[in-house]
Amino acid sequence: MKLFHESENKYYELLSYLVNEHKAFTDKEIIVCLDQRLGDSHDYDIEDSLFDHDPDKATIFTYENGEYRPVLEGRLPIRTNRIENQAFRSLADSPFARQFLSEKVIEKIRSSAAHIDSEWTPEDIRIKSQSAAGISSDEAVYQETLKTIIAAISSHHAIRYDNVLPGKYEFRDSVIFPVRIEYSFINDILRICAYSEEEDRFIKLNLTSMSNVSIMADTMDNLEDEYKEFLELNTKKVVLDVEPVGHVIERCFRIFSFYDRLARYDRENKKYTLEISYLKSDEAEVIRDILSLGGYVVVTEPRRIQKEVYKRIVQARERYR
Amino acid sequence: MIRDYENIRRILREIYIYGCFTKDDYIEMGFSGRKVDKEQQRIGVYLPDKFIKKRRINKKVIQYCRYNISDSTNNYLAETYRNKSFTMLDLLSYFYILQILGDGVERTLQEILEEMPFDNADVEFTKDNLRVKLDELLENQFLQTKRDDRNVRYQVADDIWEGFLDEELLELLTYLEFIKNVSPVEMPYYFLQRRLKLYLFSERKIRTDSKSPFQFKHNHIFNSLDNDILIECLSAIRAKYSLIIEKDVGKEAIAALPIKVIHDSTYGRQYLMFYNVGRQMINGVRIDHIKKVKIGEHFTKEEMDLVEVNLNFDDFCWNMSGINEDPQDVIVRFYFDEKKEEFILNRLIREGHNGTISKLKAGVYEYRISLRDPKEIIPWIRSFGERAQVISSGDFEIEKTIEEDWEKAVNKYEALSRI
Repeated sequence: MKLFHESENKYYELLSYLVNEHKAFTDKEIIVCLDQRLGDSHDYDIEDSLFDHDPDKATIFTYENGEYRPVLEGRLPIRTNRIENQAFRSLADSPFARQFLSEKVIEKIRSSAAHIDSEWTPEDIRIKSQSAAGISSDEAVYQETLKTIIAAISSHHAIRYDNVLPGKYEFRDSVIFPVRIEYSFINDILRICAYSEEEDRFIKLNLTSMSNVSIMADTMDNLEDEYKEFLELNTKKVVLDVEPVGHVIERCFRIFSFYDRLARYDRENKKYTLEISYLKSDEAEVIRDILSLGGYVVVTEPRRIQKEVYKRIVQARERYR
Repeated sequence: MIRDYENIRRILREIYIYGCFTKDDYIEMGFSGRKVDKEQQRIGVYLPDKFIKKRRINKKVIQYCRYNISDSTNNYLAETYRNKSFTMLDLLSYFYILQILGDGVERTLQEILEEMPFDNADVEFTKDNLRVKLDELLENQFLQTKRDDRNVRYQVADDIWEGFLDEELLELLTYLEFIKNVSPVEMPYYFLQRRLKLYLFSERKIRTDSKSPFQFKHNHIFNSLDNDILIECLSAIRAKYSLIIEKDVGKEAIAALPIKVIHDSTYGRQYLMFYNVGRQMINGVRIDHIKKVKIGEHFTKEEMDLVEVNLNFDDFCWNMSGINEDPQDVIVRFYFDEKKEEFILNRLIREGHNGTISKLKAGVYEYRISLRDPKEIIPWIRSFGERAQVISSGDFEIEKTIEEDWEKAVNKYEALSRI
C-alpha cells in the first residue's frame, strides 16, 4: 500500500475538477484555475505538457479553436483509493467520532465500510504523555454543542450559553462570538476561543463546562480581523540559548515546534539560539517547558522571564540542599 | 515532481524543526552539497511562499518555515505528498479508464482498449500496458472486477459516500478537518478530506471553501513526513507479518516482529516497538530513523505467542526508554499552595501516567511510579521547578542528576552579569 502515490498528485486533482466542470476552458481560464487550486506552487514543465496546443500532444484536454475541451466527454467518477478507504473505515472507531458525528452518520460509515478489510488502524498506536480524562475519553457527548458552535463560527453569529463548573464558577445566559475551536493535543482539551462583547476582549472557554448553547441572530462581520489583531497584539517573544547537546537540541526544538520561531546556529561556537513567539496566555506553559529543559537552556531575553526562571531554579536547587 | 519521497524527507524535517542550517551545516551533517542545492530549490517550489521562507545570515542562505496558530489547520508539509511524479501513461490511463467506465457499464479489457482515445502521439495503449494499468487501478481499489464464463469485466469501485445525505457529508468534512490534524497518522485523513471535497463538487454540486473553525496546539506536523513508513509498520502489525527494518546506510538491517507504535505527545516522537529476532529481545526504533521497511513473512505460531506475551511490555516505560530494564520505584514530593495552586494537583492527576498520589500533609503530596528507565521522567519533573523534589529512584539516582542540573542552571544564569 503506497501513501506516496501519483493518484494523490495535485495535478490529478486539478484535472479532476476541470473534467467534472463539463465545459471548455480558454487559456486564461486555465491559468486562473491553476492559480486558484495550486497557489504559488507550480511545476511549469508539467503544466505545459498538460495543456499543450499541439493536437498530437493532447492529454485529458485537447486544444481546438482557442479552447481546451475534454478528450472524453464522460464524467469522471470520484472514488476513494486504498489508503483513503482504510482512513474512512477507521473514522467510526476514533475516540472523537461521537463528539463530531451523529449516531446515524457513525452507523452509515460502519455500514458503508463493512466490505473494506482492516489493513492498518490507528488503534495500534499507543499515545503516551497525553493528559488523562481528556475529551477523547469523556463519556459525555458534545456533538450538538459543537455543531452549533461550528455553525456560529462559519456565519460569524453569536451564541448564548451557560458556563458552569460546580464550586468554581457559574455564568448563565452569557453571549459570545466564537471564532475558533482550539484543540490541544497534549491536554486533550477542546476550548472555544471567542470575543466577549461584555468584557470587550477575546476569551477561551472549556467546551466541557458549556451547556444550553444556542445560536443567536447577532452577527459580527469583522470578527476575523479583530481576532487577527488580537493575536498580533498579544504575541510575545522569548529568546533561548541552547547548549549543543544532541538530545537537548532535539527536545528543545521539537517541544517548541508548534510556535512560530526563528533559530540561529553559530557553527564556530557550536551554539543555538531560538526565538519563540507565543501568546501571552501561553506564557506559564512556555516557562514550564523551559524549566523542563533544565540547565541546558538559558533565557537571554526578555529580562522579566529570565529573572522569573532564575528565581524558580534557585528555589528548585534549594529543595536538594 | 518527486520520484522518491526519501529524497526530501530528512532535509525537509531539518528545515521545519530547526530552520537554522546553511548549506555548509548540511554538508557537515553528511548531505552532499549538490543534493542540498537541488532539494532546497525543489522544496521552495512544493511549498507555498507564506510557509517556506529564506533569510540570510552572514551572507549565507537559511531556509526555514513559519507557523501561525490561526492558520494551524493547514499542514503545508503534507502538501509535499501531492507531488509524486507520474508518466503520461499513468495519467492518461487513470483518467481515460475511469471516464470510460463512468457510465456504470462493465467492460472487458478489449472493450476498454477499443474506446481508449489515441490523441497523444507519445502514448500508445496496447493490451499489455492497459492490463498493467488496470491491475494498478484494481490494486488501488479504484476499480473492481466481475467474472463471467470467460472474461474479466471491469467496473468502477463502489461509491462509499452514496448512502450519505449532503448534510451528512458536510458533517464528515468538518470531522475530517479535525481528525487530519489530531491523528498520529495524518496523511490518509488529509487525502480523504481532499477526495471528499472533490466528490462533493463532482457528484453533489457542492463547493466547499469555507475557513476552518479549528486551531491546534501541541501538534507535531512534522510526523506527517514519516507517515509512509508508519503505515507500512501499522500494516505489518495488523497483518501479523515480520519486518526487515533498514536504518541508516551501513547499519545492519533488523529482522523484527512488530508489536505496536508508541507516540510521545510531548516531543512528537514515534517509535516502533518490536521483538528483535536476532537479539531475541524487545527493542524500540524511532520511526523517523527508519529509512526503509520491507514486509517479511507471516508470523509463525511461536512468533504470534511472543508478540502476544510482550504486548504490554511498555507499561512501565514513561515513553519507550529502558525497555529491557526492571522497573524501579520513583518517589517525588510536590509542594504547593492547595488553595492558590490547585492546578499542580490537577497536572499530577492528568499528566502522571497513573502514578499513585497521596497527601502527606497540607500542601505536600507524594507521587509514586514504577518505571523501567526513571531518567525518562526527568524533564516532566523539572517542568514543575521548585514545586517538585525527587526523594528516591532506585539505582538510577535521578535525584542527583536533577540536583546537579539545577546547580548548573543557577551557575549559568549567574554567569550572565545582569542577574
